[in-house]
Amino acid sequence: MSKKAKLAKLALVAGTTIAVVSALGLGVVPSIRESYASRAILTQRVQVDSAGSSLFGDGSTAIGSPQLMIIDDPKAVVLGTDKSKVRQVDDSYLQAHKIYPLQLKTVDFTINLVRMTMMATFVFGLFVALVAKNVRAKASNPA
Amino acid sequence: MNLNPTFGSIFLATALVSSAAAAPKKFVIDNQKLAYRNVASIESVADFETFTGKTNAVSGWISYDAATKKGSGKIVVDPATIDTGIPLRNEHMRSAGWLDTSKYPQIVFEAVKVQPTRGDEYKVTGNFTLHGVTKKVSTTVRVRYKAQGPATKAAGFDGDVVQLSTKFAISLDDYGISIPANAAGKVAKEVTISLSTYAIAN
Repeated sequence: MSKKAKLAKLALVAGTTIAVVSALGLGVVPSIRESYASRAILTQRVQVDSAGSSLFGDGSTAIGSPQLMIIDDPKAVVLGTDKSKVRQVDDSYLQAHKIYPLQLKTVDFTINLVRMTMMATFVFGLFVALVAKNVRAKASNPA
Repeated sequence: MNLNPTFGSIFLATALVSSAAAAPKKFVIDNQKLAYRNVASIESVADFETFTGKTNAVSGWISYDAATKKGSGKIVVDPATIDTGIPLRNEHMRSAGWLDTSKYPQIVFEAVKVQPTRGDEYKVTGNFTLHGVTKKVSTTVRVRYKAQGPATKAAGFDGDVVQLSTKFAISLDDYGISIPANAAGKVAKEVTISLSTYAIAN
């Protein structure tokens, strides 16, 4: 076997491996996303001050806007839901326990990035494998 | 015209009492004992994540007359105390490239025009100063008043109480804060400023 044919065989194996691994990754990505999405809850960070807030009939003071978050510590969600079914999360608890909840949008952003990278590597692997296959065929059959 | 001295004194006293009743009361934001009740926040909604920086370091005063619905005020926030939940990000936010809190140690809103709109809402126009740049901002402010009584005492307030809350959006570009390329997608160009604070008149 010529050196060119050996190299082509190596490239064929490498390209095929890259394409297969990327395809497998692309297949797994949706289930990873789903595992995070299933744990995400719509939450509103609040500052709890029952005495002060109750003076004007408020339950608590909202901090920022509601977000889809993954909070594994159920103790952080102490106030149940408000009128719009948003779970309220005690900001003081998060701070005291140094919890910075993961946002679903961050997971989505990262997963989209991974998906695009895997699609690119899949195309690259496929391209390398096809070129290598052609080169190998020509090298083993010069006529 | 000759006034009877007694009648004149009563007239003068009544006039003084009336004018005192009509004058707006000055409420001061308690930034010591009840500071935790004052919440100022800045929210950035970007592609990668939404983050909210929060501080309880709010000070200032509010002049308010519940009867005539007139008022004014000045609110000051210490930007060096804003906590975003991540110490490294806090450091970045305070640095010269962002809020530059050592050079600009205050975020200030000073009301110049207050117009009642409906219920307890007011359209307030004022000067908003951030990063050393002052711009005119108009926002809806909710103002609620409770005269001193058992309810205010039970809530820990020693005097008449005014609670005000507002929310408005600003563009960081307008205040000379540009987002570096490495933070694109992580920090929004437009951020929302929110405030909820209590002020007391003794």
